[in-house]
Amino acid sequence: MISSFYLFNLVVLFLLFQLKKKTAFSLAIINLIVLVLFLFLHEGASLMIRL
Amino acid sequence: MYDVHRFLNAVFIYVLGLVILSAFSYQFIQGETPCSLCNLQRLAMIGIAVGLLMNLRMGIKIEHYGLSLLSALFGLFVALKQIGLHVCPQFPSYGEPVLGFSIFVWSFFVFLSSIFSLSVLIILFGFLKHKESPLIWNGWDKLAFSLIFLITAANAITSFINCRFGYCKGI
Repeated sequence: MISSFYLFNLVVLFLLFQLKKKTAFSLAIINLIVLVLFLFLHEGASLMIRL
Repeated sequence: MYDVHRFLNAVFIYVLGLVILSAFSYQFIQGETPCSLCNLQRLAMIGIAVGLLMNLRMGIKIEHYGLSLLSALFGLFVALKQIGLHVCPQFPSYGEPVLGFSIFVWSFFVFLSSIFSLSVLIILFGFLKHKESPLIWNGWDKLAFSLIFLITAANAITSFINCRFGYCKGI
């Protein structure tokens, strides 16, 4: 699960190297949004387990 | 002045790279697997570096700083959450302290100083005359890119070995 986020960052870096400006920037923003969602889902799941 | 701005961005990337690299080597020396929240903090540091690398590769733009700043805020939140969890006396500690502080406390300091540095860089950017920056990479820029790329790849491999497709153990 976590390794897929690192892979996503590798794709962003590769696109950056290829000078795909808009795609790289959009993917970086999507990556950040997914990370935030992951954190909240992860915490929500642990809260449900505790309850 | 514009070159100084690029230079400061490159230095920032090197510092972040060294911080992630030290956390990575500490993981091997201590023989500990990084927890989910630790990995999220590393990802946030890589996110800051990606925004700064965009500045070097595509020219300095305010939206790239915004991306780095958002990543830093995310990392700060995760580090603060982990500190909050470990403040509870019944909560088991995770990892050996370094110079008196746990790794996640150091990480909190890194994100706090990153937000400060990014703010200073944005203020500096505001004072500069905006002109198209050349899309030329010098050796140092390429080295910074390679450093972040290799660190990300190494973390991807080790986190896959340690956690597979599930969650990483520990908090």
